[in-house]
Amino acid sequence: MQTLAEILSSLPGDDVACITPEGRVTRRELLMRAESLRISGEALESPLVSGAEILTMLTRLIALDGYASSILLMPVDTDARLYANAKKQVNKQNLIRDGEATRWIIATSGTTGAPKLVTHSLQTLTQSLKMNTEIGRQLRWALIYDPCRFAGLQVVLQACISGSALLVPKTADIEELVDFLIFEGCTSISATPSMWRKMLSATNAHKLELRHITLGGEITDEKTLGRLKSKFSNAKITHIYASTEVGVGFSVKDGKAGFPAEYLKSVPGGKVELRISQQGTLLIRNTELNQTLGQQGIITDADGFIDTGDSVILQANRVIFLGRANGSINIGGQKVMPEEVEAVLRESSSVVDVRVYGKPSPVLGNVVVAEVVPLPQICEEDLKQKLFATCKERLAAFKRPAVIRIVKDIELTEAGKAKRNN
Amino acid sequence: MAIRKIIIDTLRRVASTNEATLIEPLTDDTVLLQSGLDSLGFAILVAQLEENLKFDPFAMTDQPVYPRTLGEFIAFYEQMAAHN
Repeated sequence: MQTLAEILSSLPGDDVACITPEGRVTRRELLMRAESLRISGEALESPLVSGAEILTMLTRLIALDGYASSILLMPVDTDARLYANAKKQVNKQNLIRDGEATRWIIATSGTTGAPKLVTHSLQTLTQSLKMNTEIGRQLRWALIYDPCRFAGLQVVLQACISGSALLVPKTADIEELVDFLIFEGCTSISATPSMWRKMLSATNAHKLELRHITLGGEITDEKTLGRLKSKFSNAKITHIYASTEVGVGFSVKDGKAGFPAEYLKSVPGGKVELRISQQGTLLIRNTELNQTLGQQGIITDADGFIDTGDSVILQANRVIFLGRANGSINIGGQKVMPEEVEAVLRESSSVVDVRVYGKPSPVLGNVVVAEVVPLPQICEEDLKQKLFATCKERLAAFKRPAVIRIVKDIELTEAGKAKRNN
Repeated sequence: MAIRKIIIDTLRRVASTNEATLIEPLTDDTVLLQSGLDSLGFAILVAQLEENLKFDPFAMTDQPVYPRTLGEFIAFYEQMAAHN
């Protein structure tokens, strides 16, 4: 496997590699910066790589891969204890030995559970990416995620290895973000369904000329897929299921939620195998890697399958995601998957987005609370009554929201997912 | 609006949206657990009252409080409203 520097050196140096609101940098400039970092000896001072400043991050990745023994990627919302632990493991940064690959150490997002550290190599991180540089060089990928998390790193590496420019907005304001992407000719975006719903609500969203739309990190619902399809009719829409632990995943391109049941026999591409556990969670195995080696705190079964913790059901030849098995809300001993309630509320044509969570109750442990972002000019009280009525029709009594709150916005985590805790 | 009226209006609304039949007439002596509303209904009632009144009296006391009758329930809310 080539190193990141070798891959970039094989592509034209004059191409723009990275665009931020402050300016643009060519591939040659990035390679030169990385080279001087190695010559100065600074590259070996620390394995830590932060995504706070994208050019520094890219320079360090290029300098360290294939040169230093480890790269420790540090997301913005770093868990202090996790990194104290990681730094102990990588206490001394060394030159890499012959025949070895640099270890890329990355944290899982820990949406509901504790984040874990997993070790990858450039090879495992890029094995499901597109390598065609002829097509790649025509594309501009938006970096919406934290580049030190798995999903963001995939975008960074996709742009690097296929010769695309990386567009890096530096704003949390959704209108400004979308306007920046339009201005810079963005063609490709990878984001969570929650983030897509936000972007779809931006005034100028229809002006984006997208060719690739990727969704991941959360359950992808048919309504969001449908809205994307009607707004961006020329785009290829893919929803991916990837896990930081496994390093690769699989993609679904038929525009429907969940994935075809045939994937349980054979996943296209053959890089992963899937099973459903007796507890109804999805099990996944990377067929090209021995997952049991070198990964701390990751539990595999005898056959090397990892339990993803995602609850699924088989429904009419389709495997449908229900939500995180440990993310359920306990209502007097009965379990509610917030995603199931969200799916029912999201079907309303007046609803832009929704978040469901458990709120502590002195009576039953918890009650279900829903936050709803309505379309503009919708009568809030009417909408609430309609949603209560829909829930009464569709959900068992204990699953129905006790309270529906009308809000302007759904708060997302650093990983771009809807916050699950209150 | 008086707390009493808000509580009784909310109670009736929760009962109607949760297919519960209240045992009429509702008086201060009505025992909550025999009013027709089950514990899920009460959890919803308390959550909705917090939305309307902007306070949860159960979260404001260190001592566990278990109002037995509707009168005690209303008195508890009125008492804690004074502290709020």
